[in-house]
This record gives sequence, structure tokens and C-alpha cells, in this order.
Amino acid sequence: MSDLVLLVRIAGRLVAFDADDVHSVIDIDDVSPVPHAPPHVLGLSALRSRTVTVIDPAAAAGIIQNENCSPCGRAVAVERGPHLYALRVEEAEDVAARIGEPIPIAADIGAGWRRAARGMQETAQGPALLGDVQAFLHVENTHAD
Amino acid sequence: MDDLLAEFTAETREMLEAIGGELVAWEANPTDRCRLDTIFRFVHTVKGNCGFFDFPRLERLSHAAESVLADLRSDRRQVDRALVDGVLAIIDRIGAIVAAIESEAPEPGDDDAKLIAALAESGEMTAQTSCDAMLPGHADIAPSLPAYVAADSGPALSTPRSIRLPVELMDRVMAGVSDMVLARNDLARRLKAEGRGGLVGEICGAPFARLSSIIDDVREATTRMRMQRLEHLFGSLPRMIRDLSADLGKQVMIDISGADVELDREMIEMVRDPLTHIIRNAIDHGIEKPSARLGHGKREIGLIEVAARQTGNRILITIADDGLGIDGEALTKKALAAGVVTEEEAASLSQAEQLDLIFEPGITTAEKVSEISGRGVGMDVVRTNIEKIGGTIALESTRGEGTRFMLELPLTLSIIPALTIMAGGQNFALPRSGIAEIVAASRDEERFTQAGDALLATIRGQRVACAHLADILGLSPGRAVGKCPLLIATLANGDRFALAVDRVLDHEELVVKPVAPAIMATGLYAGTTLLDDGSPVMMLDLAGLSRRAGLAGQHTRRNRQLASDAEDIGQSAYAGPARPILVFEALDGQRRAVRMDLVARIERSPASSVTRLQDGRCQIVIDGRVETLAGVASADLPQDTLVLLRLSDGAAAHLSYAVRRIIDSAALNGTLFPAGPDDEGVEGIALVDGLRTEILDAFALFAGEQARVPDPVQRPTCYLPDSDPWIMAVLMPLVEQAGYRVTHDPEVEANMAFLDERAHPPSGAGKVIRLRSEAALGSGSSAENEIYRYDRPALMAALGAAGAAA
Repeated sequence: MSDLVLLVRIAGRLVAFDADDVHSVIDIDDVSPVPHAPPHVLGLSALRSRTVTVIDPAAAAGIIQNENCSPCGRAVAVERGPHLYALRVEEAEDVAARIGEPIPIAADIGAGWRRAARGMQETAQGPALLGDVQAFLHVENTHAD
Repeated sequence: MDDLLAEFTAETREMLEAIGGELVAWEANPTDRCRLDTIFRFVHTVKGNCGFFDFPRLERLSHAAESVLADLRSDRRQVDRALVDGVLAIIDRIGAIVAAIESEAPEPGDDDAKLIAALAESGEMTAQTSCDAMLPGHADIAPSLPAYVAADSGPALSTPRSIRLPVELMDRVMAGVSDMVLARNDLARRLKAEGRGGLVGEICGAPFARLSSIIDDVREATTRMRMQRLEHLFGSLPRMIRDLSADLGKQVMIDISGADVELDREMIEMVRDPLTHIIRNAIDHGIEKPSARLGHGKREIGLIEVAARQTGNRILITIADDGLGIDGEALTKKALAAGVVTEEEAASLSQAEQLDLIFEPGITTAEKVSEISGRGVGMDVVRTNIEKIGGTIALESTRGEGTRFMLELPLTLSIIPALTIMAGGQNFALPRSGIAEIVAASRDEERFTQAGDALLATIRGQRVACAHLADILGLSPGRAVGKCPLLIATLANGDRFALAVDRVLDHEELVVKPVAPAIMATGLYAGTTLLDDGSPVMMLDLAGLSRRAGLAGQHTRRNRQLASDAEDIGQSAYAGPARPILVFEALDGQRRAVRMDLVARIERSPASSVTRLQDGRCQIVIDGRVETLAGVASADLPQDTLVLLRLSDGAAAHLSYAVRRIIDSAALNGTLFPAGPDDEGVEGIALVDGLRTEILDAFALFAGEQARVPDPVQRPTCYLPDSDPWIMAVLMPLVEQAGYRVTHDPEVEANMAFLDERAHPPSGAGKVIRLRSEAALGSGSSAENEIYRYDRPALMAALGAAGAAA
């Protein structure tokens, strides 16, 4: 676990990703859609000479199904096994230092967020939900590598 | 051989390095089963490899160590200090000898017998002997160590002829080169936009062109770095089989095909050992001794067939022998004895499940342990290694008839020849191996029939299910199906269907990589690839597409049957099946056609690649080779681009035929009218769509001579096997021209027969002529009944002699 987290905005909420989970922050400008792929797969793009699968994290975690999520824009690239994924986020705000351990959330945050958040992380930029990359990718844990 | 030797020494050295830690751990705890197994596999591998290279010392040492370790594994012997020391000393000695071989230095010390004896001695003293008492034995062996050290320090200075690189590093280099290509393409686009007359273009044009060609070179080299043709692997097999069969007093012949299939280098390394192992087993246990084979009514010489081919995104390697087959019952008994299966399980095993027991650890079919194989370690290691690279292994065996192993390997990182197409505004790739033919859009309204919800297309009399790719994928088609080119896809099970696409873009060699599991789960895709401009493209899976669209299955098969029935009725006057031909307009304006079997592909080439020789013939440089260019005899060459038919006789011969334009493909059904005496190189005249069409004489083309039409005085019969494409496409027209009636039925009485070198002669044939593919006469064969297949005078003489006798 890194001392740093990347703060991003997904479905309007501030989410913190462990910096160790993040490959890079990229801008997606060209996406080829994949016919018949599940709705959270927005398409394929290329990062350098690697293929990137572009994911709508809010749809993948079952938070909201946004029909109009544009595949192009700011994204967080994460690596899972041999595959590279890009999580489309509304904003990638900043890298911030963790303050203390993540704490349980004292309210009902909704079914989707319960799957996707591992608690509340206090940061130098204020509190954020600590995001679970697996849940946002909609991949089974067993498959991870 | 040098390469193989270098690989052997490098591999052994690497294994020794890797095993160092295991040895120490084993010494600390000799009862550790897991370490024991690892060390056992090492000596087993060394034994296998050095048997092949004829290093008797290594073989003796590793055999001794293997025997002792095998005894330990089966609890026939207790482990003790001296035994551990003895095994370690032998492994050290193996290391020293290998180091000496590598540096071409004299082999160290020759007291191998002492080392081996040390193992045996320690065995005679039983487990009651305490470890301390064994120390003298230890001292005996110790003097061998300095020899190893000396050999190791001396030759370390010599330069190795090859280096081994971690695959990650090669991947990084390849990714870097791919990036370079993308950046180059981007730059090229910008320079082009700037315009040729621009200042930047003027300053940078020449250096950019140079950079560009350098990048292309580097890219080709890096691609080659990873890819290897299977012939590197197969090349060593004939020698191995020869040596092994000589050792065992058997006669074995090997038949290799598919050596040109390319595979990831790492993958080839991983397949080498399993393949060697399976072949060893086949010779040792599968193929019987010559006398036993004769007794079983087989040929004395056993046959091992090794074949590789690419099917979709997998490589299939089959190893078949025509030996004894595997006794499933015996295998089950052994498995029962070894405790692998319980009594109830054993009783309920199907035959296939019985055979699968061969892959369980500790099971062997061999009655005796030999130098070659039979310790029952082989097949479980083989399966582990194959599964490690994501492959599968299966076997079929029939008692008395033989055994066939099938290795299926993933093609990840292999290069797939692909067709890029456009449908619904998106680009896709399809494996070219699955596309039998591309049919251009036609105005023929009758091509399509709507049958219920299904659309059927009629392609040369055959009705196949048809759908637009965009419809299958849920995209909107750019054009109506009737205005689209059709791809005729053939699945592994023989089902065919037609796929309409908006446009066919290009043939490309693509490096296909795996795609994210969520996308794989759709079942429609085989992988993904990046095109030259850096855009990602999905590689479609034809079987998945046909399943999704309901294109294949019973109904297509039935339709095909109906269509061919209809054809048969329509053509009852014609005895043979319709043969596909390609109709084109030749450079001299004549309408001609060539048998489709001969056409490898159609290509365009710049006119500058053609050279006219002094005698009027033409040659063309294509794919880095010089080929004969036919079809230009009495015509002027076009100024800019040539359309070429690349013809191949299915064997070694290739040539190009220049045409003005391709007209269409058609079916040749009906009799050929004889060609006129001036129509050189023409087999006959056919009516295609009511127009006079000259059919090219394939034999004359490939033999590089002008055809002569003899007067058919009588109609003797000649048997030709219909299984050989060369005989069907090239030889048959010649035989027919010589006035023979051709039969493919071995029972029919024939005046003569042409066969390849190995086929069995038909019962009814008079004179039998075997055709060699080599011009030179092989040893042990007589010139009388053998003819080089392009020796036209000899073929004609044989035909003439048999015809006169009839």
C-alpha cells in the first residue's frame, strides 16, 4: 500500500485509488467500439503500442448506467495480468498523501458504492472513498492474474 | 549440429544453475520428495539429450544417477549421506564435462567408473549404516571436485557464439520498435500534409526516407528475433529417429509436414522436449521390430508422421506412429497398482479415460526400463510442460494400428496472415486461413434467395448461408448485401458460409495479442492487433460469428447436399465433378482461364520488376525471388502495374502469369474442345458463359516447354490417384493430351499407372511408373520405373510405350 493516492471523480464523487494500483493517467482520444461487448466496455484504444480496453467504471461497479458516457477523455490506466485497462473518469484531480488508515463509512452509500469502496480515506485534499480497482474493472478476483 | 550442441550446453548449464539451490536443499533434507523430483528430472533430461548427441560419458553418469534416484522415488532404497554425496559428485562431473564441451577443452578426469561405483557401494550398505560411517566414501569422491573448478575457471574467458536474452527484454525492444514505427507513420503523414514543395519536405525528405527504411529493417529483424519456423525443431528429428531406431534394431521412417509454420521462439523451446519424448516413446514402445511388423501384416518399416498446421488461433502438432498402439487395460492395471485410481474408478473408465492415464505421474507402458525410455516419468512431465504454455495434449490409440498424439498450442504472439475488412464503418481482421475465397459483388440478382429468415447465396452452383457482418455485429451495414463483396468462410468442421462486408481492405501479417476477458467472453473475437497507423482492430473468430448468426450447422450441410445433388442431375452427361477455374483476359486480349487449384494468389506488381531476357522470356522479381513470368510471350508489357496470377504446382515450383484483368471464377463442366495446332500452351477450349475460353496447359507452363498435341489414335487407360494435387492439376492434362482415358478407380483395369514415390500400386494396373520430386535418382531405386516428374521426354516415352503395347 502506497502512502499516496490518486484522486479522481467518478459519477460525481471523489474517489481515491492507491497509487500502486495506477499505471498512469492518460487522455483517450480515439476509441474503436467493440460490438457485443458488455455495456461497461467502451471500446479499445492504443497506448503506445499496447491495446487498452476502455472501461466505464461507474457502469462496471453497477453505480449508474450512463448511456452517454463518452469513451474519450481523461482516464486512469491500470494493469491487470497481461491486460491494460483505462478507467474513464470525469476528472483526475491530484495525487495526495494519505492521512491515517481508511475508516469504515458511517452511512449507507448505496449498493454500487458498497461494492466499489473499501472505506473512507482522509487525505490532504479532504476525505474520499477509497476505490477498489477490481470492482471498477468488473473482473473477478480469481482472474486477476 | 553446432547450433544444437550450443543449445544443449547452454540449456544444461542453465539447468545446473537453476538446480544449485535445490541440490543444497536436498542435501540438507534428503527426504524432501519435491526436491528429489526436480533433481531426478534434471538427470533424466540430461540423459535424454546426451543420448542424442552421443556423449557416452554423460549418458553413463546420468543413467547411474537416474537409476539411484528412481530407486529412491519408489522407496526401493533408503537415502543416506553417501548416496547424496555420490549424486552431487555426479552432477558436478556432468557440469564439468558440459563446460569442457562448451569451450572445446579436453574433458576432465576419467574416473567416472569410481563415481558410479560409489553410488552402488553405498547401496550395498543398507540404511542401518550410520551417516558418519559413510564419510570415507565421501572422501573418495572429493578429489573430483578440483577438476570441475579448474575446468570452470579456465574456459570462462572464451566468447560465446550466442547469447540468451530474457524474453521481457525482447518484448521491450519489440514494443519500442512498434512505437518507432507508429511515430514514423505519424511523421510521414505530417510531412505529406506539408506538401512536397514545402521547405520542411525539401530539408527532411531524404533523411526521413533513410530513417524510414532503417526502421523497416530493424522492425523486420526484431520480428524475426521472436519467430522461428518449426523446421528448427523438426530438423533434428530425422537424425534422432535414425540413431534411436538403429539402437533398438527397428526400422523407422519419418514423414514431416508443416515445417514452415512459424511459432514464437519461446514456444518452440517449450515444445522441444515434449516432442522428443513422444517420439522416443513411439520408437521404443510403439513401433514393433521388423519381424513382428511383418507378422502383423504391416510393412517392415514403421512410419512416424509429424505434422504441424495452423488452425485459427492455435497451432496443432500431431505425432502419429503406426505401431502397436497403447493397451488401455494394461495401463489401468498399472494405475491401480500405483494407487492412482481406485478399484471402482478403474472399472468405470472409458477407453479414452484409460488412455489418459498415461499422463499420470509414475505410470509407464514399458515392461522393461531401457536407456531410451520407460521410467514412467515422461508423459506427466510432457503434459506439465505443454499446459504451462497454455496448450493441451490428447491422444488416440487403436490396438495394433498405432497411436496419435495431438498437441494444441496457443498462437499468442504468433503472426497470423489476416484479411482486413470494413463493415458498418469499422475495421476488423479475419484469419486468412479461414477464408476460402473472396467473391466480388456482382449484378447477378439471382445469386441470393431468401429462405424464411435465412439468406442463401449461390456461389457456383452451391448454396450457402449468408449474412452481412455488420448485421451480425449489430452495426448498420454500409451497403445492401447484394452490392457487397462476399467472403466464403470455411470452418474446421467443413461448414461453409458467406460473409458480406462493405469493403475488403488488405492482406496483412498481424501480431495478434489476447484481449481482455470481458471481451473474450462474447465468443466473437480471437484477439486484437494494432494496424500500422496505431489503431486497434479486433480479430474476429469465424466459428463464433457463425454460431452467433446461426450460419452453420445442419441446415447448411443439408443445403449443400441439395445443391450438389441438383448439380449432379444437371450435369449427368458429364462424368467428373465440376472443376473451378479462374477466367481472365490475357495481355494479348485473349480470354483465357487457369485451373483454380493452381492459383496461389492474385497480386499486383510494378512493371519495373520485370526483365525481358534475350531469348524473349521474361523474369520477375517478387517476394525476394526471381520467378519465370509467363503470359507475356507475344504481348507488350503494360507501362505501370501488372496484375499477376501466382501459380504453384502444390509442390516446389512457382511462377507468375501476367494478365490484363481478372474476369471471374467459373466452373469447368463439360468437355474441352481440342485446341488448334497453333495454340501453344493451351490445354483445350471451353465454353464459359457461352464465350470461347482457352484453358491454360498447366503442364506446359510448369515444365517450361511448349506443349505438343499428339494424334489420339487409340484410347488406352491410365490410373492416377486423385489424392495428389500435383497429379490432378499438372499431370492429368498431359496424360489426357497423350490420348489416355484417366481413371481414379484402383480396381479398374488400366494400361499404366502414375504414382508418387510411396503409394501402393493399384490392383488393375499394367505398367507402374513412380514419380520422383527430385531430378537426381535416389540411391537404391532403379531408373526403369521411376521418372522425375518434370522429365517430359521420359514421361511421354513411358506414355507412348504403354499406349503402343495396349
